[in-house]
Amino acid sequence: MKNRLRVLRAERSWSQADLAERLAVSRQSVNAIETGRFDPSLPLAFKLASLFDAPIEEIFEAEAAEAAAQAE
Amino acid sequence: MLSLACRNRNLSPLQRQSMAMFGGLMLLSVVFLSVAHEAAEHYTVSKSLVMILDLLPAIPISAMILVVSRYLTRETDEFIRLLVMRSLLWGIGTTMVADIVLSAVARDPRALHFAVVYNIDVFTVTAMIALSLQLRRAQ
Repeated sequence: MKNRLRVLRAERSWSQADLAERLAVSRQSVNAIETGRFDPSLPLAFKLASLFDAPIEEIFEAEAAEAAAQAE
Repeated sequence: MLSLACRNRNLSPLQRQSMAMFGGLMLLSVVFLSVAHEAAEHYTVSKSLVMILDLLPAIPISAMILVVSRYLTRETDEFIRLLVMRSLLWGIGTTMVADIVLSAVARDPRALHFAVVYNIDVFTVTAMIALSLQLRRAQ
């Protein structure tokens, strides 16, 4: 699953450690989510959405949705 | 090794506390095993007492499972929880392989008596190595 976490974080000039602190998770977790190696659970995704004040689908994009958009 | 790991400043208080408890119980299981072995080898004790002493190490080992379970329940970081779960699987898998090798190689029944100690050591060391490698990869 792709995500815009790195961009959203950069817009706010937050480091990975800053975001991790706000989410109450480890910096490794933020890094793993950003690089797409780990998909967060629904509660964490909602937490991210609330933190960035954006809907979940604006932060995360499912591979299937992306492929469908490209096919159109 | 566990006491060194406990001093790691990157560990959360929950991780540090769980490791300390796990290490203490590991030590206790070794003590119980040694007592059972010594009693059976060097003292004349009744069969029922030998059986009780042989079963004693099961208590700290069961408690170790509870410590890990408690840690996994309380760990709020889902990614770290995933890494710990993977490390535990590596530990269990390697222990099973080591156990098969030990039972095939060891001809001395005394070696098999201490198989539990080897098992705990192999499990702990493998799980810790697997966890630190995964954490390094996640940096």
